[in-house]
Amino acid sequence: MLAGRHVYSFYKGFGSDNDLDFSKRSSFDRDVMLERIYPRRIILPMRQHYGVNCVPVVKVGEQVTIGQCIGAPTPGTMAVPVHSGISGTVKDIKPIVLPDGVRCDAVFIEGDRKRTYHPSVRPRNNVNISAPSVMGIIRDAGIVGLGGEGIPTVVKVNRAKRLKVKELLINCLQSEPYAASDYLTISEYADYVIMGAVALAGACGVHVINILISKDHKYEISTLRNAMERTSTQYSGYVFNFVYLKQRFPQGYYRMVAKALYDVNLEEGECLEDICKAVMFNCSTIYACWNAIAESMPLVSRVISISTEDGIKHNVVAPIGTPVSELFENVNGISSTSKRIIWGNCLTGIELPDPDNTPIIKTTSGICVITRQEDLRAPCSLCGRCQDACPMSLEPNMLYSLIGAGREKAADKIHADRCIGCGACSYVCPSYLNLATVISEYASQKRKAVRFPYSSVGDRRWLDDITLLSADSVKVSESMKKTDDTLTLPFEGWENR
Amino acid sequence: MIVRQGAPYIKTERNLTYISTVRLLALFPVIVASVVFYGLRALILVAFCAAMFFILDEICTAVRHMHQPRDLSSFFNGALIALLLPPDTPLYIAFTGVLFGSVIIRQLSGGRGSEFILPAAGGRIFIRILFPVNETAFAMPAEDRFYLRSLIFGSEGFEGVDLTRFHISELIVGKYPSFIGVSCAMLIVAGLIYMIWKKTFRFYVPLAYIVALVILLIIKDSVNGTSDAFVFILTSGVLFQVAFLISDEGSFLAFGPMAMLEAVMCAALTFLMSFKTNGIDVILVPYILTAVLTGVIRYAGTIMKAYTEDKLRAES
Repeated sequence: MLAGRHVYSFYKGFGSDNDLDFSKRSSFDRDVMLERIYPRRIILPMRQHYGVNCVPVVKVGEQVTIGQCIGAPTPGTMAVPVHSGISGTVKDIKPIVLPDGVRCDAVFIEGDRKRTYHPSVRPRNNVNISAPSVMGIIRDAGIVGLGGEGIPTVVKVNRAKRLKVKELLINCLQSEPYAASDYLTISEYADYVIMGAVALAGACGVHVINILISKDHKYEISTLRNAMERTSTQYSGYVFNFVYLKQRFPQGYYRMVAKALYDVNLEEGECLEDICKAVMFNCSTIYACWNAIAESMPLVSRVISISTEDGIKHNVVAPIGTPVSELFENVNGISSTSKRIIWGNCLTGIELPDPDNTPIIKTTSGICVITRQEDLRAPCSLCGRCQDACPMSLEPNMLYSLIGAGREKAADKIHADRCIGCGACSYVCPSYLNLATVISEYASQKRKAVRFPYSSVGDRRWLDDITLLSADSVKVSESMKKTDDTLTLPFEGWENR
Repeated sequence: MIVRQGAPYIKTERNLTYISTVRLLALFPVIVASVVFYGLRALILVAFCAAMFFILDEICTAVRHMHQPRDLSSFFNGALIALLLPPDTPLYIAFTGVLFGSVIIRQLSGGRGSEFILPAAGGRIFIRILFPVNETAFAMPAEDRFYLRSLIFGSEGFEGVDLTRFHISELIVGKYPSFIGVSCAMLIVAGLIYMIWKKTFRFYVPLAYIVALVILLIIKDSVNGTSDAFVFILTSGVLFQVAFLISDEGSFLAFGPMAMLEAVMCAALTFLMSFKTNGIDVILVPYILTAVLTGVIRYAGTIMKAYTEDKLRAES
């Protein structure tokens, strides 16, 4: 039983002073306002998820509407559809390279400023739907893990079902500096988060839902409690618990959650579902799921935190595909001249070379504008701060030296491949060494080359679930046709909200 | 896993400059106390050593075309050498230590931040070896604050003193003949607390050192039937050692059980040294020996950790 007063955390060194709790520093305060922006154009890459590319299903010159499917996955592959977040005309379809190295086709859409919705986007009259229907909806809505992982949610649900998990975890542990998108989602759409969790729990076949959150987020906790009270009449048989974790980066990463809650060290290739019998979804993902179920709205927009070192912070709801330069045009006070623009958050993001042609994608939770500083580095003083900060208990200073010296065998011996690339070591390094870049790149190469080769349909670790997905999709389609979403009754009365 | 180039884009404000500034600030009250006790000559010695260390450091950095972030470690090391000298040390002797610490220890180790021992400790032990007679010249504090002759000609033959004739309060305040900066236990402890508060030093490392040393000294006292433990702690300079030498993150581990183990090892060596000698050897020799062994300990620790983890995994 996880719930209760106990505050969980992964172990982080003896007598650690918790350098990586950014919540208590005024310079990293979060903004609480949420704005909605409407860009003139969007760029929709055909791969915004963990898996393989979709195929564009529109042609140049075609008129599209909000919620219309723009890219569809090849059947049997680990991919989800991509939808348009604006109405307008397809101007171009051409290959692009995203900052994370992903190469895929992208559909360029010029907006018509009419905000015309696709006919399929309408509130669902009856949300008393079956588990297979839920899976069909979230698959067709193109929902992926919005916390950054980007795994198609339906694949994760499949795996949870297959492995017979016992609890569902709602990840409300966003802990990077400036990042606030998850907390804004909770504040604004708490009812959707709760109902979405019930829907996903029903789909996964679990009845215990644990909300993982830091005790410091009192407002979000009370918002969720109120939402639970408001919605409690609309479902039965599901138990919600609050599980409190320390505010500490990267507490929300699934391996850290496994360490903190279940005292399990997950190895590469092992998953929460298998070892801990729990499945975890980000709260923004859960919101998107219920938005798809209740409003029939596919994943076309998301909350993004835009922040600068100068203290300018904005939280916006932007259509997916909005170019970063358009985001800046729509918020006040951002001047990106001669500064680094980070695609993602400032600890784990990637520097953008071209903000005009780089869109935000489904997994982009933030954009940071950081001052470009002179890159002066001192030699490693072997102070051990990186070891103290490393959530995986690695020795980054030693790995950095070994990898730099080409002593790969020695680096492997001390588990270089376990690096999760969180950047904690580089952040705390007083000598400003780029430890994380060197080690995570090496670890990434090792993992790709040795353990988990990619197949044409996606990561081999997920093959079972992709196969199951194909099988399920047939069942879902049939069930949707026959019963108009009324097989079982996990919810009651949502239409009266 | 996506490879991220250059992340993270923000870095801690507790960089090398911050750490060296905190350490210098922690040392500042000790410098003030040394000037109060020994007057102008102490001030000149500290300023001279700090300035010379900085100048030599800058010259070496420029000659070697090294681009490193600036910090205050040169001033810290220079001041540290001066504070570890007897008050009547001539400037040329002090310069010898500075030259050795800056050019030999620091630059041969690979530059700022790469030293295997604190350059100040290296420079000071070099003076100890080269000018052993200088170690016996201790002037009484607060006597002639404007006496400057010793800066050129050295001491005029002060004798060693019997510390038992000083009151305990004088030992705590530091009003007894000693090296320039190691006598004022009160301010050294204040500096230590400041460093812990600023998180440049973990509390458990000095605690492990002090506890280990006190236990060993109490055992020694109980065997010999004496009660010298407290006086030894106050007057031997071990507090200075723990505050300003062991806190050096380059030569000593700063975190975790291994750091405590190193501190305990240093305490044990200090205890052993207390049988044979007194003075600067008690402060420096255990520190240098432990610091040199640090690399071996770190390496062994890493291998042991990897081995244990592999074994546990195989068992599970």
